[in-house]
Amino acid sequence: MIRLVVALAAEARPLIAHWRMRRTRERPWPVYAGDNLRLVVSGPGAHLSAAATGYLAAHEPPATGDAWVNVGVAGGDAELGASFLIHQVVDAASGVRFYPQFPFPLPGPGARLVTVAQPHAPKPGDPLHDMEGSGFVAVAGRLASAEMVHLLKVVSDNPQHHHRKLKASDLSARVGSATDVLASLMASLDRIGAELEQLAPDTQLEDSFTRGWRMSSSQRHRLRALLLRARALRLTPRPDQYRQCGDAGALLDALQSRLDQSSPL
Amino acid sequence: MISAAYVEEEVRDHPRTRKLLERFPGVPVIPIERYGEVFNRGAQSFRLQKARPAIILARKHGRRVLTAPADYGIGRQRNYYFSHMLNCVYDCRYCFLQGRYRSAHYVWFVNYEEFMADISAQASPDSCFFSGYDCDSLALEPVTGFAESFLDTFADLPAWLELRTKSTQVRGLLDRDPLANVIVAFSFTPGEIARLLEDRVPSVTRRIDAMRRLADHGWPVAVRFDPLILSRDFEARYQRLFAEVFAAVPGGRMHSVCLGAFRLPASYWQRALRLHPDSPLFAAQVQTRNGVVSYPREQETAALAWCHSRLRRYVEKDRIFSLSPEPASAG
Ligand code: SF4
Repeated sequence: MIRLVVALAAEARPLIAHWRMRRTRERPWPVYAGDNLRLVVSGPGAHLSAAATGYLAAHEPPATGDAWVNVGVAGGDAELGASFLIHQVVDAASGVRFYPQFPFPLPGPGARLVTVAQPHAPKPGDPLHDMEGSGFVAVAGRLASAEMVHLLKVVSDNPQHHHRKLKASDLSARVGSATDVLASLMASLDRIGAELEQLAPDTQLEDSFTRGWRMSSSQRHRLRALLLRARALRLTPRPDQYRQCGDAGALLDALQSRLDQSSPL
Repeated sequence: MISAAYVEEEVRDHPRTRKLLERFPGVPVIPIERYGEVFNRGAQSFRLQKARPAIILARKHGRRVLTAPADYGIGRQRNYYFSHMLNCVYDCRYCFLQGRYRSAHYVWFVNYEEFMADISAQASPDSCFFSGYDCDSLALEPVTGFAESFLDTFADLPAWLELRTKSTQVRGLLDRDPLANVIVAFSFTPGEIARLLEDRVPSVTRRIDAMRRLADHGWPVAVRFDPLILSRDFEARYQRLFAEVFAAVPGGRMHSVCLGAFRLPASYWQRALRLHPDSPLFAAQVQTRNGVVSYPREQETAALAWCHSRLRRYVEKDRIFSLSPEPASAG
């Protein structure tokens, strides 16, 4: 699943419309749901972005392959409407940095982003500035690996066009113009998310054994290791095949001897 | 070949940095303070990054040349290792790098001159320096020019240098006069195992051919059967491999032959297993002894003894070395 964190309702509107999301919650933060997609409207600022990201995780606990994307506008010395994927986020106050990772081709140009506490009038030579990025990555970077945490920023103001003149409709238009880039990013994230999901251990198989036999924690540990070996051998042992084993020790010995008979290479 | 270049401020204007960035003009260049801020971060996926690694250009501070484990060596008294690079272009399932590092990006230390000064300070006729501990010594040669630079230093030193590799990037070596104190050591597992466990590595046949060409040119070459991988038909497979290797370079022309048992620290094994749970390597029967995962002792001892006796048919005893019971090194 892709989880979008957006600061303002005006920025969220074109995304909600494009991906046909519907509102599932109003408070404490508005949450929208679509096909394999969630969106939270955080409000402006790094603290709110961090809090809303955490809220979205608590509201619906993330799976191994879930990705997080912060979408919004930014100021900087760049062309109005240009969209950038962020490869370095710097928190201006603390200097803390975060590096999203791209194990897939970038669907657009990359840029550095500085997160500031107050609106910032861009000057010539400035990198991109926003007010949410560092708050978002501070939380999302703990929920997922750096390959699954990204920021897509669209330039809304630059040294020639100041942010005070921006209207809500301008913000919607800017973000709306980046849906193709976002769609491409989401497709890559879906693909690598599926790869991560495949690597996750099969907890249901483990549970099916622990339901049938009482196990100490060291026996569970051994069971897990044996099931991992079975997976590498492309074997899927089933509890009913071991019904004759009176206790967990006998079960684990039987499982082990079955695996020892198979030559892996 | 590389997805991005992270560049430490300190080496931004280094000639090797500039050359690399000229070679890859389109890649995003991301300034960083120290390589660890990207490389050592906790939450990142070695497996995902391996598909599209970035390069991190850095300066190696601190101890650049380290003492090798006590029983690691190929006949010299004092053994050292050093790493001009962390990580490898290849992707072997048994490689300890995937357990050792969180990131699969290549860290390239461009301050060769400082490495060479440290090496020169410790070099003596009874010393050997091993490169290729945290990387493959030659695989990225066209980009890093590592061998090209270090060979000039070793040409004037009394010490030995071992270049450990699974690559076939030997053109640079063939273009220059061989050095008697530089050994190019090729690592092998049997072809059937290599195809399953050594992703992106040149085939055994191509490696043997590269080794033969170097030997014909006069370079001292060596072979490393490290780690030994147990499998069905173990003896037949290793017998075929030994026959192929020594048909290309007869034992009398081989500098040395090393055997190494498969070993990974338990934490590295766990990490590697999480990265590739479907690999047949992880279906093997293994034991954890003193925090190190290896094959059951009897099987390991029997395999080492069998290989040792079989190798004696090709090479004199004093050129066969058993590598230390430390975790398998890279290369
Ligand atoms: S074992 Fe050697 S060749 Fe293989 S990935 Fe590791 S360093 Fe590279």
